[in-house]
Amino acid sequence: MEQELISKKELLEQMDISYGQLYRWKRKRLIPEEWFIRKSTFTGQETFFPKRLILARIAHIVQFKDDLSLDELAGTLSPLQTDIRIAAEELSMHGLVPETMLRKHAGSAFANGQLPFDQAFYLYAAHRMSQSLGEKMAEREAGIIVRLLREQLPKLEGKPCELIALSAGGGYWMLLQAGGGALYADERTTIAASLRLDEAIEAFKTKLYAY
Amino acid sequence: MKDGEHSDLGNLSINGVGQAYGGRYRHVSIDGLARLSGNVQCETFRLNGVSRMNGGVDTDRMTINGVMSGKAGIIAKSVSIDGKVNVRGSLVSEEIDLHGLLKLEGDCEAERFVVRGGFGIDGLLNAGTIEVDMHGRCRAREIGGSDIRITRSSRRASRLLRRLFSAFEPQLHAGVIEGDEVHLEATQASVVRGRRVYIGPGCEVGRVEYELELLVDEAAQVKESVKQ
Repeated sequence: MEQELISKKELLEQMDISYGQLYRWKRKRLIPEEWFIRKSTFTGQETFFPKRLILARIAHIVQFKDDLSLDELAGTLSPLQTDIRIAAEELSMHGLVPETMLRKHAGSAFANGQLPFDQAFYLYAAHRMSQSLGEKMAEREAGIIVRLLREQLPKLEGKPCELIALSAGGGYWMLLQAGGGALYADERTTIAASLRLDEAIEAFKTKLYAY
Repeated sequence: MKDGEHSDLGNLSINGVGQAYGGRYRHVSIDGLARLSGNVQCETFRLNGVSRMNGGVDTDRMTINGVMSGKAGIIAKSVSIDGKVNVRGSLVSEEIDLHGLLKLEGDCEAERFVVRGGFGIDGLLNAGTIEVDMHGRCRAREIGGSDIRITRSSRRASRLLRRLFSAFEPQLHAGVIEGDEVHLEATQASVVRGRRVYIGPGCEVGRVEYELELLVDEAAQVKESVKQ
């Protein structure tokens, strides 16, 4: 699925950062290797980035870099960091996960009114899907999504993943597609909704860390 | 390796000709000829001689005096090489100090990359400070960092360097070079990008994109230059 790209040059100018900084953040793994997209243009080899993702990431780094060392910062960005705990109210307050979904599907991960980061994210992803699918997604399908992500996503860290809802008649089949690439369905089946998890994590973190 | 994990690990010491398994050690010390079969994790790795590594090395401090060849990557805090290192993988360290020749099939990352000699890096050389005093051929697919300084040595070469790089005129070949302060001599590159750029004698560059300042020596060739 296409996404908007921004060139390295435009990025440096727009975010007012230098080559040295960008290469340093790459060494510290603050910017994932997959985001560096090399293309040949008429002026030579140039590097591009997924626009929304990189702008959000650089804004995050620039915002926090004075308070946290780069190594600590890399910690906050790790997508499935389980030792960050988030209070339930923060999730509903930022509009990330409705209370009903929290109560029904957080399950045993919920302790002392708090959820580990990854569990909170799974609920957020389920909520985003239910928003895309509207009324037609059954309550229990949120639980199905959460269980799918719980089971499979930790094994796929580092790979670009997409959550896809297929419909063929009643109900939905939830799939997790890892590694990018297009999906083709037969004539009876429709791709009802899809959610790119790397974008979802960025949106989740941005909203969560917004003051 | 985390602090405190070291104290109960044994040391690996090879004197003369020997082989050892990979594994976790505290100090690895080789004086002679060694073959290590698996990945090695240790606090310090010291080689004085020749070593063939079938796996990678994960260590704090690596000191090589001699020749090392490895099938997998090296991760360290500091690497000091006096001799020749050839790795079928990447080299990631905070400090890299090379007197001799380094060949990597992968990438090279460091905060400081200081070279007297030459290197061939198949991937990206990504280091904050890059200081290369070329005594032989240097090559990297791409070079990126903050302060990049590539000079063709006029100093008297050490015996080691004369042995490693006898006939060839020192030159750096790279595709793209990007940095903040970039000083190049005897460099062939397709594209050079930087804030302040100096293209010195012996350089052949296709395109320079600079933000603040560009200086091109009369003994250098730049096909086109663009101020950003």
